[in-house]
Amino acid sequence: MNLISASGIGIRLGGRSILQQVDIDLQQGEMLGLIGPNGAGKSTLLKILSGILQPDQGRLTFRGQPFSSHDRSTRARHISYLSQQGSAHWPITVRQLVALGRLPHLGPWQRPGERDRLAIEQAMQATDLLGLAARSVATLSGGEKARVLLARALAGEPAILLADEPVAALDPAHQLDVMTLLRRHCDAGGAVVVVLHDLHLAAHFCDRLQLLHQGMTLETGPATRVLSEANLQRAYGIGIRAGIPSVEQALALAWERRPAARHPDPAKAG
Amino acid sequence: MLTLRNFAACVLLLAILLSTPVSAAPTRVASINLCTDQLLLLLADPGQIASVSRLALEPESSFMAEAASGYPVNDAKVEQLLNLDPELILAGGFSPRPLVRLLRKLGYRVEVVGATEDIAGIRANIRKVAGLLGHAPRGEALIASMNARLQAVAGRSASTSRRPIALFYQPRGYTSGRDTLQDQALSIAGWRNLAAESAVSGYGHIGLEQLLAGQPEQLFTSAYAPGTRSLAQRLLQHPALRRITAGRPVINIDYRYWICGGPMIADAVEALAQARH
Amino acid sequence: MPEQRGRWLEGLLALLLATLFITSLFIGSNPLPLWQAAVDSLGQDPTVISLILTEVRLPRALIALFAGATLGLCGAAMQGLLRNPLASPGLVGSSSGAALGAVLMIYFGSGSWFQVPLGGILGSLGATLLVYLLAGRQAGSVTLILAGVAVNSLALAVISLLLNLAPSPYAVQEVVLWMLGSISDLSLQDFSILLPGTLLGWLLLVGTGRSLDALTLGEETARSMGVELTRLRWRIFIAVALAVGSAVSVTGSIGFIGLVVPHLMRPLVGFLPGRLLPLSALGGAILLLAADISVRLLPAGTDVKVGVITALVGAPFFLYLVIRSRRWQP
Repeated sequence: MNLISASGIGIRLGGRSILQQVDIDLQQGEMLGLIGPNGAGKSTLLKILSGILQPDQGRLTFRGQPFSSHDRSTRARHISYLSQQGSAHWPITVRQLVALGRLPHLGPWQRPGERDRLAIEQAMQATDLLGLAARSVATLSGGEKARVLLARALAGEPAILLADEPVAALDPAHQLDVMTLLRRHCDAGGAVVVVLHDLHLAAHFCDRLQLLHQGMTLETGPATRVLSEANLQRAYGIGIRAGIPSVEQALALAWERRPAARHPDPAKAG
Repeated sequence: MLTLRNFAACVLLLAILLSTPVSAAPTRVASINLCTDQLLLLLADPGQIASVSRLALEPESSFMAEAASGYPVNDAKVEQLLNLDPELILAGGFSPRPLVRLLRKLGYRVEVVGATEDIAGIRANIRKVAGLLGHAPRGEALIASMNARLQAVAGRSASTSRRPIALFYQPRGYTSGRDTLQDQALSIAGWRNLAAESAVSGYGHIGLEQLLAGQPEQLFTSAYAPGTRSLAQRLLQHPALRRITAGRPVINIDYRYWICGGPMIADAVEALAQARH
Repeated sequence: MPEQRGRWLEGLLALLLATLFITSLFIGSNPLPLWQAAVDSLGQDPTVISLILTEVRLPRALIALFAGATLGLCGAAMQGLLRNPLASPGLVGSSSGAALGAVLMIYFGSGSWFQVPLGGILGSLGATLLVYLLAGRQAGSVTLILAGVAVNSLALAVISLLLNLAPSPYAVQEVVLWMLGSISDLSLQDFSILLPGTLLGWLLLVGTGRSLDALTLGEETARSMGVELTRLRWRIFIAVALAVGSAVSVTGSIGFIGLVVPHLMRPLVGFLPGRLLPLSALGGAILLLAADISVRLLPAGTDVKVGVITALVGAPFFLYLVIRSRRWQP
């Protein structure tokens, strides 16, 4: 079933047309990668899907119902948005920030209950934050902060996660962690739309890619089809370096998580 | 017949006449201060008055506002006084000292008549100005009539046994304590002054609680600019005041009776006495 | 858990507030048998001591409580909304705008009782909006302070001008009362003028805590979580205008309480804005009552305004904050 279905989305911002006639569909269990050059409209599309922006044209449905039929807070229970420039304006603790993810589930005067505490714990565990629970977010590194914001999004137990460049500030190991998390979220029955710049990550983890260029969809489908030489040339102005046998192989290159290597013992070195 | 005795008498008379300095009444007198304005208007011949200060025309401040309307007005500026070329300038205790010094330096005769704090001072000032103007008898007459009126009031209030408590309550909680004109006037009119009994000396502040605790029967005010509004004046409408005076309205005795000590104090005292009924 | 600790803290603060309130009733120029006065006030004929209690001391304590709570609460709300620890009714113009509106009504209006708080409310709203427009949505501390200084200076200049032009000769000296604030010599009438707008404002602010918490994550994320940002902003601005406008129209612009109180509460309950709202209300009331009590303990004859005390304590604190605020700006 289509979790989200959008057709004919168009929007103008600041006098410029950002998106025209964009369609997008998201199935349950699917991880969709939104790729494209800067200014293609990826973030804007994500904001429209999360309800932050209203499109000028087009129809949006969530689980078959038009977006407008749900009120904002109900939608927020099912859709979590992870902003590109995540910030925490107050130096609250990690646990407090992750707990904010439960706000859409709490009534105006409801206190957090057992269910909420469980969700928070699980989110922190999944993002490896239990050791930092009492730390102030102001004292965290960029990567740690990114994980905290992701944990916040996960704590809401949303059906759909919309993530705008969630791995930009992370080192490769943590990039893998986050992408694996998103993958697991899909495998558990959720769905993810993730904006990525790293084509290798996108190809490796996403079920489908959607390539945006100048506000329009250039191509959508499996990585092998979307990341063709022609598309890459047109969208990014890049080509695939000669000498590598095939697109598939090039794009099959990926990092993998390994336990930390032991330092070679100088005494034993030959 | 020209006898020696006659001749001696003539010489003696001549000597007396010649030895007495010619103290003719000054013909052009200017006043640069409200209080001396009013005394000037009360005691001088119309022909003697060269100029009065601008405040003399203001009906709220000046008891003699109407009388002042015929005369040239000055703003206590040196150029104006030079034009007037007066024989005598009357100044008040608060007239700017540099002005007084300058006028004297320019050769003008300046007499300073200080502010009064009590009725004795009023009498002294009347005598002084009357003497300067060459109309001592007029001064005495003025004092006599004032005294008569005050004594009449004092006599009446002495005959009653009760002396109720009153208070002057001004914007911002200001009041007249001991050694003020208001205090003396209240006393003559048969009132007790709550401020004096609350150890307020001179013009000072009395707290609302002190006022309530003292339970005055009548509140008086002499506020300037009635009908205008400010926070200072709003204090006078505090509901507690109405309750403590059992609804007796605050009686206003105009500012102009107090601002300068003068014979109009008798009017004020009579009004205060009347309020006792 | 911080949650439980917070509830305990509210109880403690409420107790402290009640104590200070009662203490305030005991303090005055004459010693007062409080119990007797209270009993008398219930009777038909008011005695002197009951008058002193109900007409002088009670209004003063009530006004201090409500005005202080208003300033603390609105300070916390503004800091939450603007995500800036230096925001407060005094800084963002709400207080001086209210004073301007009230001055206009008192000295030039027709004198009906509702005009004055109405003037305060409108003046407060106007000044706050002006600062907000000048500083912009994502204002950093410096921009916010500058915009606030500009609007506050303008308001003060116009207030001084108006007082100079006012028909009453006493008006000129009242600039001090308006810009420093004072709660002496007020009556129950003044309290009833202050009350409606204040309660309405508080009512509007209740329930904004959750949204302010969500705002910690930034405007976009908050929106995605269901917060209607424009509506929240208007709600808080209007609430602050109603409450601060009414309070200032009676007491004048008492400074620094809205700034200082949330900062005093943060070390105790953390930085989440929602948590700080009720505690800042309690703290503000406590602070103003304490300042007023200390003013009345000064020797008789000295007429120090309560705003002087809050400024003497608050201004150095403000400087300290400005220096420290670099530490947690995003």
